[in-house]
Amino acid sequence: MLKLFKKSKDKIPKSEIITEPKEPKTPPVSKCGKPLQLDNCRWERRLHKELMSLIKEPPPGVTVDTESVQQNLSEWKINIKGFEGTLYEGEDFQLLFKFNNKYPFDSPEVTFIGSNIPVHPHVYSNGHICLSILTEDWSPALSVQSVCLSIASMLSSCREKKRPPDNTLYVKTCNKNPKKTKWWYHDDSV
Amino acid sequence: MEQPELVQSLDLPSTSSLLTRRAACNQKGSTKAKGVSLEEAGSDGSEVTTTSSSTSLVGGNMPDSKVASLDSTGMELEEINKGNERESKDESLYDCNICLDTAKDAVVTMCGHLYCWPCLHQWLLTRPNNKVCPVCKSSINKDKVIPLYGRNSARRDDPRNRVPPRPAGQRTEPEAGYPNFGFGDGFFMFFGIGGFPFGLLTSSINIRERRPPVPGRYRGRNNGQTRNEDEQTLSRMFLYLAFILIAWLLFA
Repeated sequence: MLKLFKKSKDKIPKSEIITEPKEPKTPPVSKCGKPLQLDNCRWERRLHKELMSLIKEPPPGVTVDTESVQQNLSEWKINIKGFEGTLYEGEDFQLLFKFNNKYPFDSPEVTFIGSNIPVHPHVYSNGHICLSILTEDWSPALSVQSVCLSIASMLSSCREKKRPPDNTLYVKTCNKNPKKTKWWYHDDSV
Repeated sequence: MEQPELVQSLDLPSTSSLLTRRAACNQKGSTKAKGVSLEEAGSDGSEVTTTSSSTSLVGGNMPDSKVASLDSTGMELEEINKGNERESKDESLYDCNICLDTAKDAVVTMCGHLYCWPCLHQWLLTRPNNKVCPVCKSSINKDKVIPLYGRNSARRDDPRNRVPPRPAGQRTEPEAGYPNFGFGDGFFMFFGIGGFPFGLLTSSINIRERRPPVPGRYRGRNNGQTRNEDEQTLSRMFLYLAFILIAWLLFA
């Protein structure tokens, strides 16, 4: 009897171990099937919701370029104004958000684009941003709005306009996608 | 591809409430509206456009009928005007923190944050090594998530969801005495798991307890009594057998 109990106890974690790795494998398998379409609906639905709330109650200084969103829901252009009383007062910046179909479980790809890229110790001259919530600290409870807010706060708390120390090397060697960079988050002060 | 999606989005509660606000604004005759407006693009009314801050939607005093035409049916707006905005706000209290929809198969973490179970499950799968609550980053566990069962939540799950069932609720039985235990119907039941000699001992002691004769169960008093006597001799036999066994166990 005791042995039987032990066996059944052993089996439960095993089955868990077996099923868990299977789960992430299923979406690629069903690439042409219905489940992926369902997923598509889900992330598009969430993006719609976010768009609506951003349009309805935008955070100060943040506007969405809806024309770009209309063309492609997975790429948003967002304008951010430098706040008054900060080093970036009067400047306008543009952010590009790229979402993949794993959003919101996977973080969006966020870069500064356009002619004016802020000179900031955490922003590289190619527009890449060193911000932990964009990679490892991302959580699906975050949103475009909260990312915009963090970036605005990051800009506002800057006390000296300068590029990151490794800017030239990084810009030459980095991948186009900032999420492929292995970031090292060491400076919480700015 | 995107256009029809935007049309669909007009039916979402958030958009609808936006429309209501706009309508309310126009009724008051105010021309300033901050943020973004919905403009009629051609006649389909499906386009969503942003304008930079402080621009008015369409003319100042827009008649209600025109506002209604923003919606393809116009019926929806009327419904919304009847106070659906408040309702949608109440509902948004129970929105999943991941998909931002009303939580379906709702679960609550120990830190009190609400999710759809499919959403939370997928999040736990994406970060198997670092299971944290998306809202507060408290450590969470599949087994420590509490499901919420509303009154009408017993709907059948969509078979397309291949998500494992959400964890069951934990409940403890109320502590209550057992009235009529054993004697109610003249039955005496004994359940127990134990080591072999002790189990035998307890059961034999139970058998020795006296049972009241059950009226109506046996026809004729004598018959019942003889049965009782039979049982008593039998129980005595078992008791002796038990003692012999125990003695054998002890001395062997």
